[in-house]
Amino acid sequence: MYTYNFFEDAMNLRDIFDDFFTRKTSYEPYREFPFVKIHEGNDRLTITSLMPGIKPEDVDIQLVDDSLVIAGEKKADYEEKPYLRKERFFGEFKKSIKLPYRVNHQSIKADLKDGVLTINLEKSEEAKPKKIEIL
Amino acid sequence: MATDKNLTYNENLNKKVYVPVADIYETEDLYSLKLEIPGVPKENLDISIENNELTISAKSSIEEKADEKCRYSEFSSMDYKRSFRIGSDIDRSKVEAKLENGVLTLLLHKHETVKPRKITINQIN
Repeated sequence: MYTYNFFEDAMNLRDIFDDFFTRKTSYEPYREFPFVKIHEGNDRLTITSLMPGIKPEDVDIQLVDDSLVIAGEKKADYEEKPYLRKERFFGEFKKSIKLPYRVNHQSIKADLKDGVLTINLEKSEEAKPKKIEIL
Repeated sequence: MATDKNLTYNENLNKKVYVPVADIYETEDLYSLKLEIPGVPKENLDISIENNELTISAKSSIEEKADEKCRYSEFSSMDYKRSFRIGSDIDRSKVEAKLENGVLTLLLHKHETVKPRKITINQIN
């Protein structure tokens, strides 16, 4: 005998929804452009950000207090032709990333290649742990 | 040239395969297709036309370093793949590709026979 279980159907429905939402394109609307990733190694941070179609001169990176602010404009490269499909985003953006510790102002290196921005940061001397001698 | 055919997902389980966003424009002579594939160098790009399918697959060069811990992440290492159905109006031998700042531009030229032609009228007098 089979007893109808409402929850089985409900779970199926959930799977359908999950499936729908995981099969997304590379742009996920609830995250703000540009997408970033922060990696931490020995006293250094690497921030990677995806910014296709942006030229180095159109990005402005600033260190404000203990946050890194990436701002800029993705300039439209629309072609003056009738379009069949338009999925790309253009416009100004600004994103602030809170860093886990203070960084050395002098040693920041940024590099934009193949539409990927990489920023290398080093922990500042003040933020490094200091051993205190007991006298 | 028409709709994209598929939304592929997880071809191999370790790396996600994303569908890059695309813009398509049409003129009298050609279709131009722009795809966003950040993190892909020219060597890792594979563009092929088979039957009526134009497939663009690309491997990301962003690597996870073993000695670095991930603190925060909004994207995972991305491979890209997207296919488009193309019509017989496209000349398969005349496809130009350009990769610039993570944006791939493909120019798909139309066959000479389908391009609009102006017919001149000879005046007989």
